[in-house]
Amino acid sequence: MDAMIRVVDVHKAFDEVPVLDGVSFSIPKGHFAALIGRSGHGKSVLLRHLAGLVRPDRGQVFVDGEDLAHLGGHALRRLRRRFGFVFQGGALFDSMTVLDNVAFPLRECLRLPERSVRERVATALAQVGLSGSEAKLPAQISGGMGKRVALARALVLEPEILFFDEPTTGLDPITAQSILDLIARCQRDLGFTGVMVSHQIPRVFDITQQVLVLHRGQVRFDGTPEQLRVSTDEVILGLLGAEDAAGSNGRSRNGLET
Amino acid sequence: MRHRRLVEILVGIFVVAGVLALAHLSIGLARREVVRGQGYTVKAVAGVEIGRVARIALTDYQGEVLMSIDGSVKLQADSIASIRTRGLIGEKLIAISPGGDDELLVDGGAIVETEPAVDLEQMISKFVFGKKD
Amino acid sequence: MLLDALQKVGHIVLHSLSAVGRMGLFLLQIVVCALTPPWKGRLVLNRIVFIGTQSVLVIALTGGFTGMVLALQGYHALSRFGSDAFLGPLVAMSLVRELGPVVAALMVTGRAGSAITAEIGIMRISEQLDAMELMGLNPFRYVVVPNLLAAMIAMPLLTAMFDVIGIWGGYLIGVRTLGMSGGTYLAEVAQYLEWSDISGGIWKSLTFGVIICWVSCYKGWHAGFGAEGVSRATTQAVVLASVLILVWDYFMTSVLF
Repeated sequence: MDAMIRVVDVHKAFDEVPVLDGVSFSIPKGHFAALIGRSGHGKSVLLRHLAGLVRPDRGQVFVDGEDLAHLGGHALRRLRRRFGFVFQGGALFDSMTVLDNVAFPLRECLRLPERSVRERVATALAQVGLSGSEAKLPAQISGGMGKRVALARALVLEPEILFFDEPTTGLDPITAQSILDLIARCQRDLGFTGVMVSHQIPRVFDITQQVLVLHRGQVRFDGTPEQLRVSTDEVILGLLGAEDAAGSNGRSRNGLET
Repeated sequence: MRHRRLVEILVGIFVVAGVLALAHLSIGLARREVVRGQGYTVKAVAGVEIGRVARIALTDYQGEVLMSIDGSVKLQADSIASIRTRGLIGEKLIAISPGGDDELLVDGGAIVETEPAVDLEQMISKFVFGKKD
Repeated sequence: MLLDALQKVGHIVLHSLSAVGRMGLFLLQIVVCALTPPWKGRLVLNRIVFIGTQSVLVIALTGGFTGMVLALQGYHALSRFGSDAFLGPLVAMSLVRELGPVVAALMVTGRAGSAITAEIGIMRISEQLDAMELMGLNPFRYVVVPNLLAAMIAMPLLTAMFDVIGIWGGYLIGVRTLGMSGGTYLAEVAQYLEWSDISGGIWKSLTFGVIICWVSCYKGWHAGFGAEGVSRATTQAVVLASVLILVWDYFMTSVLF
């Protein structure tokens, strides 16, 4: 199967503290992968490597066969137009309305005429169930709606690859579940390759085909959710146990992290 | 759309006000001809400004001052040009005292009757040391 | 002991040198982006409103009072030498050559520069800049360059307003309060104020506009984490921009006049 994303022996240190210490894996085209692990073990940093926001100290990141580390600014920008990225906080432009936020990539990247911009924005907002909120400002909508808008903005360019950085952080369990369901439905409908950093264990396993466990800057586990569930690795057991305990309290322990 | 219009109006007001201020500063307050360049000394008849010193040069060990004088001012050929100072410590100017000749100065003509600048130090030393020189 | 101290000195020097280098590269990047299309004219207009129009009131107030206090102080100094006729030129020259560009720049730094830093800092920590980057867009063109162009347009105009209001403020005090003749004041101003003084002041204000935008964007761009990082960046931006304006003013003055 074609690998859409291939990571080869990536090392990265910040202020001489190693964060990634020889990470290698690949994600086939059209697969949805979850990236899990304890906080501070490099999940978000790894995701930023995949999107080309951070360059590795050593090793390579290939996206669709192209090495991100060796692309110049222009080529990198062109490649990035095939990406979508849903940030932890949504990263909506807070001086713009919902409409302008979702329309921003269409207007600035594709320079579409205003009529088709409106059409595509309406489609994207309908996909995430937010028709009619076009005129609101990010400050006026709830956290869950903000995540939906962020998702709509990421979807509007019809990306081939979508990255999610803890898309459910800070949401109550019901809203979090609805966002996960929404992501899963979009992935089924649109068929993009996806990578999601998440703490929503085990719910995230229902929507992904591949799970990567990151531990101390290395890949501890790479396989399907089914394989993960029968794993006897103590790190994984600890991870599952902690999350189950937190889940029974009715909230996600890591959901409160920033 | 209304927001856009408002922004444009505000920018318009600001730029017009700024340009007006700049114009007032350079033309109204400074009253200098922007295109003609600047003269550095003024000359006066009876204390009225009548022209500018265009150039100062040295010819045959004598200072030559080229002046451009308002065309409406008639100066006699034997007018006296003297270098004066505005106030005690002000800038130098050339004062022209009218003469009694029937002939008037023409364009390109020269004033030969001149008076050098008063040297303040000389004056003080004259005053202090009496008839020494 | 001595070696430790020396090492500390070396560390500080190297650290500040690399900071200077980063700021220089940042400026270079701004200039390159400002000179190459695409330009975002609409955003520049928004920023002119923010940096220019919204600063007019504070500029008018500070300009007026600066001119008035100059007249008050200058009159007492000049009247000792019997040269109170020079009050107009004193006020006008001080304003046009020095105080106008410098004080206007300091006011804009405090009002708009700090806000620019905070705004970009928040965009940094809430990942809005990364989001733009990931859309394949260069965030420089959207959040930095419009500020630069707007500051370069707005600063000279604000300075001209400051000068004019200051000169008339001096007139108000000199003529209405201190009893000079209005004709003397204006005639002497006209006598001494040269276009080269005015253009020198305008050039200064233009470069101050670049400094304000450069420093406040740089500090916002490299803001640390969280609210604390943004607040620290804002303070640093205001202090650094103010110091740079005064230092650069000295060099401009020694070259221009």
